[in-house]
Amino acid sequence: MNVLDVDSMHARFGDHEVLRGVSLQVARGEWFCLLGPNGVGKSTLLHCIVGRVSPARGEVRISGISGPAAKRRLGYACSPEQLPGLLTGRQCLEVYGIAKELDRIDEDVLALSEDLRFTPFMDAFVDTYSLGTRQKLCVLLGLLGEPDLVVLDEAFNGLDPHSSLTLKRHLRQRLSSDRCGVLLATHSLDIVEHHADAAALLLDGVVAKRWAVDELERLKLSGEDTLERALAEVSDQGQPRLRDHAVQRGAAQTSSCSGP
Amino acid sequence: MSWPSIPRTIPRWLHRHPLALTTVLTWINRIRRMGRRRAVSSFIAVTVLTVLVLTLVAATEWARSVMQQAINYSAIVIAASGFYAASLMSRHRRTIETARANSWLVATRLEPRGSTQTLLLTVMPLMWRTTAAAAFALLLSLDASVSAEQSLQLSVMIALGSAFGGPCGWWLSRGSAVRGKPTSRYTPRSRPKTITAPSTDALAHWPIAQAFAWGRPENARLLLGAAILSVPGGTGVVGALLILATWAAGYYLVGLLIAVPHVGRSALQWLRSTPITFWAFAWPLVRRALAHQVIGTFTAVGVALAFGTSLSTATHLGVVWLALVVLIWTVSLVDAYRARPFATKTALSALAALLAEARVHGLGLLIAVFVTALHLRLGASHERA
Repeated sequence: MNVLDVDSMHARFGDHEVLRGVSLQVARGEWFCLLGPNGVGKSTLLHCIVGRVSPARGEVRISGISGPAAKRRLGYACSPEQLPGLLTGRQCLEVYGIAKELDRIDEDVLALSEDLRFTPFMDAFVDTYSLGTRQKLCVLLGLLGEPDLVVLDEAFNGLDPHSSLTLKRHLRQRLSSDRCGVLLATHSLDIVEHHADAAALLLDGVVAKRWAVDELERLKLSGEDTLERALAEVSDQGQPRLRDHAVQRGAAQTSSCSGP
Repeated sequence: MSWPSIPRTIPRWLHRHPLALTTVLTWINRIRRMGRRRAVSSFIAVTVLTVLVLTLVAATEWARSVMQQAINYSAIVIAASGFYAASLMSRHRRTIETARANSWLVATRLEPRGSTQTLLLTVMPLMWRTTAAAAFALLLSLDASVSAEQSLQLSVMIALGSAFGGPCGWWLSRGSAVRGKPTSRYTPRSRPKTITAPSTDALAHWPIAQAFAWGRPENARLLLGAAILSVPGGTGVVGALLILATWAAGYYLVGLLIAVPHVGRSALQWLRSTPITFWAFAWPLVRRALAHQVIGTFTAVGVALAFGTSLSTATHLGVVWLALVVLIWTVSLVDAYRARPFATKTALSALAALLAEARVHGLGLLIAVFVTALHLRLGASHERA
């Protein structure tokens, strides 16, 4: 059964259509990686899934449920800068637990906090945390309440190698017991090569290429940089349209920099 | 349920409103971090001081005459109060909705947008402000020369304006760009421009954009309220518009004066790591703003002459203003460039120049020129070092 079904998702900001009919599915027990150059709409897609952005068209179903009720089944690691600076890590976990209508913090999450060496920071204010420590808290929040779908946006950024490995193992463990599905937006091909069960490349608001688990296995076997080259090839094919778009947006950003 | 780090004093019903719970916890932690005793004594000190100042102001002849004027021109008071309420509500609604859309709790089941809690949070700032204004109006009646009836009349006028302006502001901010969407890098729409060479042009636009941003009705609502109240009764439309334009121009020039140091500090946060020289940084930042100040000052001098001020007085005031502008910008930018705090020093320099000028004509200008030259030298020597 799929933990996530995205059906022809369209999203626009002003005149610019960021997502142009994206459809994807994540099965229970599957680690799905979302790849793509900067600014193609990966984060926007994740924001549509978690309800931060209202899509212009399309539907999101988490474990077959759509609408606000689906949020009971969703775990989202927000970005570190969204965390409230004047709450302690423990308070963040507890408020998040209340918001998710839980009775207590899962033992599993507390154990992961220990493994990630986050526990000593639990009673310090978030605004005293380093980027990596904030990132750990975001991940812990995302895993609270046994979600069916865990959505992670570049969640390994800023993590030290030990924490990164611990988190990968933890996610793998959850997946192997079919407790959830993971959707990760990332640029790290290492994760795709070693952990992903499926991947998709987003280009200019559409899914340009999908890799199923057997294709990923084949790429892994054919050499070290095969996936990197495959990605580059597909990206190059989509490049002209992407380039036009980038020029337009680059110009817009340059002009917008003239103000504060 | 066990939530050990959430104080038990927090009522249970607040647990159903995680956003409000976060705000309450933030305040509790802020007080905890500050130290409970210090927080309580600060709160008492601020409250006593506010009450004292308000009582003293209420007892002045000026307050009584303002109140008398306000009662005579009730339409203007209602309009000013309505305008203030509308801009406050519209800004507050946008702020709440942006905070909601960007919240760390976005993936949880937050209350729907039109919930009672959201409505209460939006209306509360207007309610307490209206109550405070009405309480102040009633405070005036403590003086024997102002009757309780007059105070009540003023309170009703303020409440009427708020009751009309509040819903208008709420309605006007509906479907604003941020509603339900985080601010996005895709939204700015401007003319495409090809980058040909590195340029500091953007720095020149920045203080002006900042001054305009501060001048938006929602940010300058208090001043706009005062401007509307300053129009004497019986003034024609042209006269009233001229008075409002003078307020707007004055606000812009003062806003620009503050915007340059403000923007300078922000700009240096990301330019400090570059080898940019003081002149290469400061001149692009101030050149347009300075041009606007010069044009504004010339216009003000012209208007003053038209209203019968003598040429020498008008010119003197214009020169003093420009000297003050250059002094404040130079001191603040040089110290910001040298990574030093500049607020106190800048304020003291400007105050010293003004006091000296008030005592002996020309002395303040000399001080301004001297301090400016000294700081320019400091800026240049710092870049060589």
